[in-house]
Amino acid sequence: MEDLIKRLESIFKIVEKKRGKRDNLWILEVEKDSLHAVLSYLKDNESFRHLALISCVDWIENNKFQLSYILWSYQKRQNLIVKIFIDRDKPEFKTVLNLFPQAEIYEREIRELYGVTFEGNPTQFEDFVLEDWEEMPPMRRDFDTLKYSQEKYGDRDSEVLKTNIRKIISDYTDEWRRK
Amino acid sequence: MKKFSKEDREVKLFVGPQHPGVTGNMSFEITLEGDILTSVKTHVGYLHRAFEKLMERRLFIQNFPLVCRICVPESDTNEENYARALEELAGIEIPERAKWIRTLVLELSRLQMFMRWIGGIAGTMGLGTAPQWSVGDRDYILDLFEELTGGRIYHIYILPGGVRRDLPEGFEERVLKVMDYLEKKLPDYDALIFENAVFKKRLKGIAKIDPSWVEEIGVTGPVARACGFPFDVRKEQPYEVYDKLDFEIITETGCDLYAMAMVRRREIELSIKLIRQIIDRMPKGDVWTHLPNVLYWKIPAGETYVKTEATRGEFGYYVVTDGSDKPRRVHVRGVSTPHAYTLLERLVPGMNISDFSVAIVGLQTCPPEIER
Repeated sequence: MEDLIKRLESIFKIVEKKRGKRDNLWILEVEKDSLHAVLSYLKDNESFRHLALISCVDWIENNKFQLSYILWSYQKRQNLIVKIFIDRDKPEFKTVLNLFPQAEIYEREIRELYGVTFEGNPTQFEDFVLEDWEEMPPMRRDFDTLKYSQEKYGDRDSEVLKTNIRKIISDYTDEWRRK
Repeated sequence: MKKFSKEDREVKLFVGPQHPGVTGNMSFEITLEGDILTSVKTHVGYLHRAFEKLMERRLFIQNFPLVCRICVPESDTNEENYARALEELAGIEIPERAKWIRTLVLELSRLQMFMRWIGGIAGTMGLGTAPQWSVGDRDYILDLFEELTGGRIYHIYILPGGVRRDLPEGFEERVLKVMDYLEKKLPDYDALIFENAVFKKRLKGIAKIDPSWVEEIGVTGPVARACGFPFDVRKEQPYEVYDKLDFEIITETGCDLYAMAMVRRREIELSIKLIRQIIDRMPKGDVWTHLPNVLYWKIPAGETYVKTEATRGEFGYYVVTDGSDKPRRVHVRGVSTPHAYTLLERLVPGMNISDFSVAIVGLQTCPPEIER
């Protein structure tokens, strides 16, 4: 695996390389402009043909989104996480659909939950789990779930709720006693 | 005679989210021309519980009641993945016996899921007897889980540092008794379903997968193994103690639903064999290593991707930590995501409408893991 990293380094600029906590996991950070070339090289020349997952992490303190592409090679039996950082103010990137057809769904999910758009993905604006969502994308760190729920559904009046419950209980016990 | 255009001939139908032929709460928008499907669109979102968002604001240990609910029928896979990811990031070594017990629990969980799948596929075809049998037999395994963990479906038994408690006295014998019973019952299942003429006729040649798709779109599990690819996480990246067990990867070459069914049929035998091996070779010792106080437990910054062979294929957890006492991001790789979207969209054109629900159950799609 070290040879592979060396070969990669001779062609592309690797910003950061890190060994995972176990032997068969490597984490590489590359520049966002060279990601497609790196993935394409890994897929065609180094047998990393299985894209397991595309994930997004919100680093709000650095004003960045991290996109992670998790690859697996059946021949080398190695996991590789290739990650890039994109600007949080300008959440745009290009799709990897031409390399991995299943990326369509993962990108659609990230578009919906983080608001990162992927240029070239034709179905990214279709609904994945949310319907008619107009608020901030919900998986972002600054999305306030409590405020959203209070504005959307309102607070329940706990006193009214308590008296209602007491009434239901007393009605039920009365009826039970009468029997 | 009036000629109808393609748009006039096509009918759009919505299958699900409440439909006996669909595995759980997902819906399919199918386009029909006569009896023949021309396209399908999968819709999820009826079961979204925002677990991944919730997990970001809870302590590591508080997430265990959430992770087991991510895939409802196969909770142990989630617990084991999440616990293993945390152990890896925190650098915790767990005792040898705990690893063996985890493997035992995982195999039991796979076994009960296969029994449940028999019920599913036979039920969609209208073979009503098989679900009664297999769900009844699955209950014996759930009884074992209840004895071991206290819960039938959600166990919260596998925790970072090992497992919650040791096996009860005489548990091994009771497991072996259930295994003997299931093994004795398998020929009956063969006669009832797997050798059944109706079953064969309904599955052979249906949903034929092009083997080149398997690597292209990330198909894993029994679906990939039915196309002759020996992809099994237990063998290629052994976790827990799978490297100490003797078994071969099961493959078939039919590439259709019948081949997938036969892979699962042989996996049942394999699971029984593995459970016997585990009980035979399990060492004595501790099952729990002491953790720091879990209410103040901080894990150093890092990221990892761990995976398990679930009944459906590669089930993965991508966990990112930032040095605080809560995870930064937990992303679950549901096995069914590429199956229910990309693969199904390719399989459906030309399929008969009556085979559609059989195909969904045959691919064993599971909506709770697509939307967490």
